[in-house]
Amino acid sequence: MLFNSIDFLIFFPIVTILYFAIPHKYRWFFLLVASCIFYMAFIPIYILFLFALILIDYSAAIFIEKSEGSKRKLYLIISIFSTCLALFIFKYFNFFNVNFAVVARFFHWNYPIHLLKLILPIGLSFHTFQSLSYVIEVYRKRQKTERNIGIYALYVMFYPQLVSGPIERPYNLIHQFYEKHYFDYKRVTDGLKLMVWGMFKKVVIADRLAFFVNQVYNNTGDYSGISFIVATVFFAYQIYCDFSGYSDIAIGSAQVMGFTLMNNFTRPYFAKSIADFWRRWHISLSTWFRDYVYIPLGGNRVSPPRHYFNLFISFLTSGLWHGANWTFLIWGALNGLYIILETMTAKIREKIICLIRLNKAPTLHKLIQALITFSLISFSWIFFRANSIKDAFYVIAHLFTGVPGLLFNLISHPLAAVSEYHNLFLLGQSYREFIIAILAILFLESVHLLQRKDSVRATISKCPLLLRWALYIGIVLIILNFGKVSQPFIYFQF
Amino acid sequence: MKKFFTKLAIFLLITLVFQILFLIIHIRSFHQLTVLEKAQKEKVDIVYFGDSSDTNYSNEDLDKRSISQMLKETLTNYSMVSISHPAYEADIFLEFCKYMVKQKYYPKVVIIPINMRSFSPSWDRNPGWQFEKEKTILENKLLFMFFKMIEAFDKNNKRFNEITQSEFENTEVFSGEKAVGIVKDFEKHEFRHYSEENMKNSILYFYMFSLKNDHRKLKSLAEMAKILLENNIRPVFYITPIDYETGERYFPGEFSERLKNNVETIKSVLEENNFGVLDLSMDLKTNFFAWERYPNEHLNEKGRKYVTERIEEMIKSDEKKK
Repeated sequence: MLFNSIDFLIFFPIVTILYFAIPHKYRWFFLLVASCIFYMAFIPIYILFLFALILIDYSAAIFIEKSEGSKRKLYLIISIFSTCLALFIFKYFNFFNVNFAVVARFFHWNYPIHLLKLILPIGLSFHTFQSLSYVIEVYRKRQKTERNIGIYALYVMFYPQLVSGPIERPYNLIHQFYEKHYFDYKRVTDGLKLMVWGMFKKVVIADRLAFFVNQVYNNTGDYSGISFIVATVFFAYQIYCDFSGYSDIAIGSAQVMGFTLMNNFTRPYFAKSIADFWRRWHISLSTWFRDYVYIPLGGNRVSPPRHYFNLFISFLTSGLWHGANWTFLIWGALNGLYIILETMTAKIREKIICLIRLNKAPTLHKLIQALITFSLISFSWIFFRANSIKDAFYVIAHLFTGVPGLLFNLISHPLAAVSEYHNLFLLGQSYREFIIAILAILFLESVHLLQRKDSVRATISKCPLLLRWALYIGIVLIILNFGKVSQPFIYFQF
Repeated sequence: MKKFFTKLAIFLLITLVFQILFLIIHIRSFHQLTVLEKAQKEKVDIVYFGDSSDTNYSNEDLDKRSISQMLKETLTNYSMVSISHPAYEADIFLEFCKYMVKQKYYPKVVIIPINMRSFSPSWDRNPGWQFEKEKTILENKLLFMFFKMIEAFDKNNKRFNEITQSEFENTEVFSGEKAVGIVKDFEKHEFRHYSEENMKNSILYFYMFSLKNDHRKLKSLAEMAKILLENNIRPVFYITPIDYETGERYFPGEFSERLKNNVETIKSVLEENNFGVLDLSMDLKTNFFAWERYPNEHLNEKGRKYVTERIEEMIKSDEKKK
């Protein structure tokens, strides 16, 4: 069930009203049933597969708690192995198989390719990581084993975050299923406001930008230069609005029922460095890799080369988590390299900044940092969005084709240049669509600027009633009238 | 909880009121409908449905009037109105006719251009030229309001997305009975730059199909003729001229033959309803057309005057018969 669908517009109020209407002791069971219905809207039979995974990790955690020493570790390994095996079969088998066949051909081995024709269960990467988090935390003795299999199943399947996160930690979420949630006016309205904001980001911005981006990235041979730059910048905002929009709706819908999910995005394009960006982008996944990959590898408490290796491996696996494709692997590796270079050059950069006295103009300094970070991140998005490695390199090779001439003309003869080159910016869409897209991005960043000082919801709540309602009604009307036809969320594929 | 639901109900009610107001403004901005409603009030005699072949002109033209403007000035005994859009075709003309009849507006004559290219996948299947929203407004304004309100949340809504971009791109393109590729292969050649190969591909894509009796646009034309006749409205169908000379240059013999066959198919369908069609498809040579380096039905000043005269003759001869 998509959040931006009529099904969900019916499902959500019914579930929420019934949730508050039924006695507390039955609520967890009701939420579990609702989550099953939500999941089964995609491919119903996969619910059995999900139940099997739940049963394995639930049992493994109990065995881990009861055991000591090497047995404990063995149960952990069995649990991790079975969860990863499921992930491997559905998501990575074909990728590795095809690549193995390429290697085999190189050595003249006869290796027939047998591809599995399986549809990836929706949100597989998310709920498997959430399950792994539980088992690992039980192993680390930071989380008590959950004896009620229904509650554990709900932890894995809680519908707001089942298919695209935030990837929760057991110590954040499980105890909330036992707490009694009352209908709290402020919390409910705050949750609804967040859902509306998420919907705005998704249907007004992300789904609109998708038309521009798809036109270019699905026909790379037909475009070059400025069109690639516009499409890539638009993709940076598309993926942000798509995924953070989903997270807002997830967090908001949980908040309405009284649950607190972790924040997943904090104005990532205001980041002043790549490391800062990753503290702000898909926080639940970044911290997952930090806690369960980077730190166990030794983190930064090792020699510099080993530290760089740990960073690189964490980002490479993060790339692989996103998809079984070389484009995602390169995207992960590229971000790993960015971080390593950033760490290696930290002192030199600091000296240069002092030398050119940029530290005396902190606002300008921050702006330059944010622009450089945004450019580097947008460059890496080329690999994330491109349909193939070949396409990605084609985009990169033609990224600046004709751009100097265009800039020269824009400066020397602006009106003539706009009339001559407008198609390069419009990317097959109308002026109206282009202007709405630009205005929506500006509006989004204005909201982000406001958020630096205080929560926007808190700021709005201080406004007079009439203004507040005008704002809320305005946003809903914009969603209804300027929202594009619903597209699946990008992160659903992961 | 009571306070919340009361406020929510008020909020939803106000939003709904504003949404309906917004949609009314949206409907009012449907220019062609406003023109038609005005024509009904003024009891205009002739309704001319136009596409780009009506309004486009050559840069060298001194007289840049459209066919409908010329007709309006020639047919002085009649009042006339033009309901036009560059990509209008039979399907939306049919909806306009249904709307007129529903509104009890019965003009004396309705002029309907039949553009041969509108049957090709380049036009017939183009998602941007389906006019689903306009068709829904003409069918039922309340229905339009409902679908518009849920549009952003209804990805399976075929009413507003009759043909998706990917369905369009994967539509087969035929030269006669032979499949020669899919739309995506041909859209690449469009307007990019002039070359002999692009010209040939565009002509193939636009005109070399073999028209079948059951084509949806032909069905719309037949239905339109039926509705108009049933309501004592005289339909004047004319097949717009095509630059057949250029077509012949790229497909010698084959182009004219295909064009004639397709025109015959149209005639046979409309004549089933005892109905004549003014066939201008091969009346004009290349020097009557506006664009040289792109296959088109856009006429220059001379061409538009010729078409105007022929339509005028037809209407006047009908008048004499009466």
